[in-house]
Amino acid sequence: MDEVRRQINYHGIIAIVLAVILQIVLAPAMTIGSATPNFIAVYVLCATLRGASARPVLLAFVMGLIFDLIGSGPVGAMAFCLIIAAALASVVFRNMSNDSWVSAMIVIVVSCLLIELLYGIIMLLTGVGDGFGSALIHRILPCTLYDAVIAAFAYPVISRLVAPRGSKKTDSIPIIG
Amino acid sequence: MELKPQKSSVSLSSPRVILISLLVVSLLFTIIYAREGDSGVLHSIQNTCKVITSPFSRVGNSIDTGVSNVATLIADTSADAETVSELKAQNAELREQAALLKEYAAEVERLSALLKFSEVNNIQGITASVIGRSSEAWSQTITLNAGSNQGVRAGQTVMGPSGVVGEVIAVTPVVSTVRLLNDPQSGVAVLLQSNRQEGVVHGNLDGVLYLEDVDANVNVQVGETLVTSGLGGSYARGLIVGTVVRVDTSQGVASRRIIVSPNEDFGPLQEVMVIQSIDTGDLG
Repeated sequence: MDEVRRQINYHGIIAIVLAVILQIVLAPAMTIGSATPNFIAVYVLCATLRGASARPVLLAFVMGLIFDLIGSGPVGAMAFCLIIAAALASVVFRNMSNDSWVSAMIVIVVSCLLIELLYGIIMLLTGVGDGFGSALIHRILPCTLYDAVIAAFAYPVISRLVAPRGSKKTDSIPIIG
Repeated sequence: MELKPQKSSVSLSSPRVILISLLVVSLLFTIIYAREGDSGVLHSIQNTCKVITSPFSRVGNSIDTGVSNVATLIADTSADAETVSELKAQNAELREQAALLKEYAAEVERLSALLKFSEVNNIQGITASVIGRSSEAWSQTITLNAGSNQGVRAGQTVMGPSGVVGEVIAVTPVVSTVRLLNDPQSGVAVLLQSNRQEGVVHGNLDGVLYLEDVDANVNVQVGETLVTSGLGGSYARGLIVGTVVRVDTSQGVASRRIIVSPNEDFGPLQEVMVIQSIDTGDLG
């Protein structure tokens, strides 16, 4: 069991480093129109649903801070958004009757939308953009769609990479309560 | 009777406490970042991270350039016969223009010698390469391979081959960050070249530049050239910003939307100049 956990941690660390490197190296080159992918958010959500981390909110906090520090936005903003999304996604997914790819994708898409909405609101509050409508059309929805498409491909890969063998849903310590 | 100590209902390591603590900490960071100046602690840490990640950004920029070149190559090789003849015609026209320009250049050289002509705009600047771009969707920034060690300072104007690109917003010893004109937080004070009226060009989330704060009585025509006015001290004066491409008065003249096309294309930027000093003389 310890060997399995060590392997999971090793794979988890590789996945974290990969997500950060992809965000720095590939994300700017993969911008389509006004949408830039958020590999870090995708990884946090996928890892949370697969129970890859014993402390998903801590993972969300750390990864969110990394996203903020390598970008130009407010430090702490993405961390805040990822914590909320990871917490809610974990609770919802744990209470779902099945853990199929479709169920996971539904949770991930809604979580991506929540992340982009919260982040967009924070950016508007800090003076970026000229209205919620413009932010919704030009950033929130396109980025949500982009993240969802990436998550559709990333979820099976991350599941194999970081999930404990034989696990079906997030069996880690509950996020809330 | 022995009294048993009651167990604390909330442990410091309980998931709920951790969740709330992390939420509070991240919110505090956000508030501190928004309120501190560009030289604040969080901004400094963010700038330091840019230095650390700059090697990866260079790789990403190379990939971006490579992808653009491949896309251009595919477009070029799949050009149809009509496109080829168009290009041939353009080539012929350009040869003619090149010949004419050679004549003009020779004339200027002669006049310069006769009038002991000296440059009207004496621009001193630092040439730098673009080594990275913003990794998230809400900002439009580029990272340059020049920093305070090379003389770059926050607030300096950055120019591309064809016009103003943006403004330096963050500087470390070896790299600096430039906010592009099409960033939603950008704003540059400009003059309409024909009538010297003032306005402000803002970036927006839709990626378009808008000319705002122009008096409703001012006549703005399509094709109007905009240059930096130097007001506010943020951009050097007299540098070309762009051209008015559309004036939408459907909501009334007072709330017209004036769309500006930047003179510089921000996509394929590879080298820029960070303006240190410029002597524009009297621009009228």
